[in-house]
Amino acid sequence: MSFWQILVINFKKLFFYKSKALFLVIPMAILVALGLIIVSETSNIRSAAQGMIVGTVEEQNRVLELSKNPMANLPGGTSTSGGAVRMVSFNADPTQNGYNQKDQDAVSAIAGVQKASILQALNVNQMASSDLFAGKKVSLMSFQGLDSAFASKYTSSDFSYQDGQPIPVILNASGFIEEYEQWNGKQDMEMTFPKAAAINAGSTAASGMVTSGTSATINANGSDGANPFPNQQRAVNFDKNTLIGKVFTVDIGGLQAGQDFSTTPTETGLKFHKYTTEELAATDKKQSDAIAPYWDYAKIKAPISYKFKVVGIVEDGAMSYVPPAALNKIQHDYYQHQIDARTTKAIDKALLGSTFLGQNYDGVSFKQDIFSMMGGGATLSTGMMGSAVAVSSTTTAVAVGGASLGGPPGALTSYTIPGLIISVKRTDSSVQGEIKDLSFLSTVPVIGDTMEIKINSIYDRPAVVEAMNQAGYGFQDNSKTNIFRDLQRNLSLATWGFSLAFVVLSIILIGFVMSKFVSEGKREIGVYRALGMSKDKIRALFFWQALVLTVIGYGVGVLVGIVSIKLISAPMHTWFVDVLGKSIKDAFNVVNPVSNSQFSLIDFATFKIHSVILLVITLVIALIPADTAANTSPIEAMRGE
Amino acid sequence: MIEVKSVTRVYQQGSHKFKALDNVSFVIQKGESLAIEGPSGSGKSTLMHLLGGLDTPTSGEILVEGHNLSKFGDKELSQFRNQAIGFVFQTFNLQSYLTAQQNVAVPLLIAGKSYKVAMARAEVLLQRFGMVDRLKYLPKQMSGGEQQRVAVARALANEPNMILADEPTGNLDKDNANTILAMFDEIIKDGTALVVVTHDSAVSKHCKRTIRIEKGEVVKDKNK
Repeated sequence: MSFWQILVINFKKLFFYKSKALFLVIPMAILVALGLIIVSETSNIRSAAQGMIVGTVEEQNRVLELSKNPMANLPGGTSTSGGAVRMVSFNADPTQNGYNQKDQDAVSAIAGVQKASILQALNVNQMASSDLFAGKKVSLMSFQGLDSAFASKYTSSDFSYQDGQPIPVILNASGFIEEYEQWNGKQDMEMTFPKAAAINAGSTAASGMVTSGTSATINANGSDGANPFPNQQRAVNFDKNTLIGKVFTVDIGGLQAGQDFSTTPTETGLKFHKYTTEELAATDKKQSDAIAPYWDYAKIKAPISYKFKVVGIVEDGAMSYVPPAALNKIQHDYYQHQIDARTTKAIDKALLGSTFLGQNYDGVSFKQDIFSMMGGGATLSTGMMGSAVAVSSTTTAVAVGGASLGGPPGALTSYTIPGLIISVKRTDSSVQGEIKDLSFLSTVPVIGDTMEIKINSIYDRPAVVEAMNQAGYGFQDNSKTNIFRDLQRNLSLATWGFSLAFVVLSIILIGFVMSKFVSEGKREIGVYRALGMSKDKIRALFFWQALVLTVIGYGVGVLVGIVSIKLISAPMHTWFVDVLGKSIKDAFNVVNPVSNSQFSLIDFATFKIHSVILLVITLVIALIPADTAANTSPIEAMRGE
Repeated sequence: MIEVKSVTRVYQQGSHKFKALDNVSFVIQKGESLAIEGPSGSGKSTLMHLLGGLDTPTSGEILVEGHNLSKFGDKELSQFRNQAIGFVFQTFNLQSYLTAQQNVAVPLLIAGKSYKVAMARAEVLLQRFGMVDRLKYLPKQMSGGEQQRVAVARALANEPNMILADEPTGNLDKDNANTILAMFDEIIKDGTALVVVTHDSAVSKHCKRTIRIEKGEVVKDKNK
């Protein structure tokens, strides 16, 4: 009897004893379908988790961020990326607190460090965009220059600056704050403080700036109503998916718009008066009269604009990142814009650093004017590092050098000129004059409070961290990426666990069912033996019966598995995003979105291994009942009729 | 020629031994028709199993054309049963999932014939026994008599030297039984030896020789 004849007999048996055959086919199909689903979905979860982070876990763990100069009251708060607690300094003297070239060289020399780079910040007075979010004007957090070697932590896109192309930017979502005014249709508003409250001179209360619903500082204690200040802020809702790739315009510099309302102290609080058109025009004329003799007013008032392209989103910290070459260009343009707007009229030294504030350069350090740092009633606006700040143009509420609010009327009014560089003597800070030649910029020492460090390999991380701490660069390695490794490990365990269960269940299923087939087929065996079928042929008959049934069960199982995977992809995606994805987002700065289709992928490559295991199990296990059948006494078999 | 020489068969059931056959000896000539009679439990079926190579004697020999069956390995015994013997059982023992034609073809397939040849031969045999209309019928679609006719056709598939029939009419009514007996008459005429185990004297009458077995011993061996 040939192999094909044995197969034909088995198929005839299969069709005749359909319900009996299902005893093996159905459980086998379920086992195979479950196997395919589990193998594929664990693979999909693993891929989705990996795909969420930019680059790889290894890449993420190769970048460390070292910082110093802890300062409070920054809207962005703290960053815990890469294990270092990072606070961005504000109003600090970088020559005293920042990292310098020596620090960069020292860290670069540590074994295992591929590159160290001090992050330079863009020193400008303001940045805003009106087309990042349609219909909204948002101020943007300042930019830091980030080498492309480190950008891989935040984006997988090209992070190089090409002249004429939009500048790639890794945007900080913490700064997506829209400012607006709320007058409720009134021209004047009043705010009453509780009696025990005291408003300190120079406090931010004077600015009338409050936030609504954001994490920024709430000014002025004791307000007796919900948010009485005219200036309001609110967070802008955004969708990372639509932002990535967006090209938008940023206006940098220009004269800061003066506050369009006045703030007058009263016996019990503050009174706000919204300027009329005429009053605003008068304020602007006053500003123009002061500035125009020295600068082309229209030119100095206008910002310079650049096109940017979002290549990544960071959701903690305070800074956005651009390529260093772009940062240097913008910085240079910012200063040059002021120089180009200058008229021929010289500025008296007495006016420099008092009426006209800018950035001071003493031959070593390059920082904002000291007057803008004083608590003498000068109003401060938040968020700008290393730059001079806007000063209210109200004459009564603000006075430079004044000790309290409500200085004498007609007090000196100061203007911050974007890009103005004032030369001062390092020893006594005395004003020397304007700087109009920007060639000195290339000699300004590299100073910054944050240093990015890239290590050669994640395996070098512990040794590098140890060396950094030994060298005096304190770094607490609290990497949260363990969550990712734990996930991968758990998924692998789950896959291995299932594989083992698959093997055990397959053995039990095939062994049990086939033994049952043999015990119920004794008469059939006896007859075949009486007709002259040898033991070998009997063995082959039952062996191939097991194999045929297993293959049919396998085929049905694969089909059911494929359909099931397609059906559960949507719920799997929802579960992943809502549960696992959240944990991953917490651990990483930047995450990519995960698509629905990720969970409909079928991992045939891994399932091939299970298929081979199943085949081997079938071959081995089926031999046992087949051998029993072959050795069944024909007389005993026929006696069982 | 088949020679049974001092054959004894003892079965062990736990600690209890049961002697089914005790020192049985006789010869079956080529083309001979032999009825083996005896009461239930006398050893008739045991003797048939030994003659058909389905069992081996505890002592003694069964010689087929001079060859000792006890010395045959599984392959030789299987070949012997396939080529030299045709079995007919009381309960027909057709494979329920094969058609009448396929059931008859099985011994030919076991013998290594192609499917086409085997099915053609099966059709001829079934036609001979008036079963040509039942070629594609499954056993459950046929009556007892029809099934036994198929079984007889199957037994003749490889043109064996001997047919071994164990109570072939035991489950048939009189008419069907007569039909089967008529088939046996034809087989005998063709020169095929027939050994029928039966306790029905009507069946014994169709055989030229009768051996009576009681309590495992041959008590009578008589030619007609």
